Amino acid sequence: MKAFITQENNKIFEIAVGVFFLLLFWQIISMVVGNNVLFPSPLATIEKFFEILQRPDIFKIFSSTIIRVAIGLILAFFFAIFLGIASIYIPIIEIMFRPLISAIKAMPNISIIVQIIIWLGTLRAPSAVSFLVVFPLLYSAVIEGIKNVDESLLEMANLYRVSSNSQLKNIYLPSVISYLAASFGAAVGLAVKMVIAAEYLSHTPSSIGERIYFSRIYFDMSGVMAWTIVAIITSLVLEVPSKMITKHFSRWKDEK
Amino acid sequence: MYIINNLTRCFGDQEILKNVNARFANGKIITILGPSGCGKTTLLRVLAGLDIDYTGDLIGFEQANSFVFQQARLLPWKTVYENIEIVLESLESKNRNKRVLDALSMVELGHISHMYPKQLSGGMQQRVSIARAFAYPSKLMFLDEPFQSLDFDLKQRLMKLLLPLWSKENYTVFLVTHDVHVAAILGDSIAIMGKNKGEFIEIIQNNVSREKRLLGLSEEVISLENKIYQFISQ
Repeated sequence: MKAFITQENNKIFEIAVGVFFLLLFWQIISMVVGNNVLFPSPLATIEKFFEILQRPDIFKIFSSTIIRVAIGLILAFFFAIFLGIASIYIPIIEIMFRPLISAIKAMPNISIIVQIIIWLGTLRAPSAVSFLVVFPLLYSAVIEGIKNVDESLLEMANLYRVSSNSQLKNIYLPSVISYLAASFGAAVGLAVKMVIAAEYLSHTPSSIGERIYFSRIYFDMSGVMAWTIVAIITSLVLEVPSKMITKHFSRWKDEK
Repeated sequence: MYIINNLTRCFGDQEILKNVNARFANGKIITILGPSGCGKTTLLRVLAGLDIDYTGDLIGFEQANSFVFQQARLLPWKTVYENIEIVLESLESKNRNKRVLDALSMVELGHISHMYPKQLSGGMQQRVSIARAFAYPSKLMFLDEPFQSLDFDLKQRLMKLLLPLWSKENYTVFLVTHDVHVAAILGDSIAIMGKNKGEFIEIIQNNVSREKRLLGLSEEVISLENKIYQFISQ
């Protein structure tokens, strides 16, 4: 227990030191620039942030962006698992998707966003962008997990006549999940960035991206920074359930 | 009766098994002994149906069988209990629980059923894999160097544990080893493979009863071991 408390305290101390130096660095740059409109100080940004929190529509803006990110992430997650598993039984699926996945990975994100906005309109574009950017990442993780399934475990399962369904559930999925878990954290961060970029470019109503856009055209730099803090919080909020799910599936690793 | 007729297995141009022929009665323990690289494991894998790229005939081996691999091959994300339960799909769920617990208590591991493999020593993991082999509904068991990673004491204890269990359940057992002592204590028949021969150079019948073998090193066992050494050194 004592060791645990010490470890927890250390972690809090490390975060506090990191935040302190970030604010110090920010303050120094703002003092060097010497123009609160062009480069607002941490205090001005925090004031603006609390102003934003008092807006009557803040919950709507915040939750709308979260929902758009979540829709893209969840769809990408299930499609990645579905297609990955289907490729175990029908290997041509993996071959068919390989060029498409490579093309999406190589495409500049801005091209994806612009094309999707043109095709799907302002409301549906952010979720679709999130899906398209995250799907190759998660799908590649699933394929990697399947390719790296321990052959000796499969041989054991075949010898003991373990059914295909059971092999899928008890051997393939746990292997895939360990690879997915490693990619999912990065996928959440990427999805938030891409959704907000899409919202910004398409001026999606009631969205963090739209708010950053309006702050920019009114040259409200403290607003841009304060909304950026809201975006970071969005990312952290979405990371919580993903970390909980990951922890649940890899609880065997924590056993001592 | 288990019959091996003209069994040949090649890897590329190299013949690992060359026209192996043998007959073994049901309920016997056959230890397959030979130097490293003589094809023991290949033979065991072919007999167990893990390798089907061979020529020749195998009779009596078509049934379900259990296999104890050199490594325990346990699912790291499943508990000990679940690792055994997973191979019992064909049984009704009410029978599974009893079978898993019985198998674990056979190998004296009833108290660790809730633990994960990474929490166990190598020897305990190997015992779990032996329990899995016993839990599986089959009377034909293959073991590939099952005691390789175990210390002398544990090896002795496991041999004393396994021999009565095989006798009680009337298993037919094929056990690969390079340890002459293991072969002499456990085997009713000791099939010796020669280096680069790809076949049995001798099959020795062990005339010492299973009960007597369990008591430890008797003169008969020592003379049997000497006989085995003579064939191996040829």
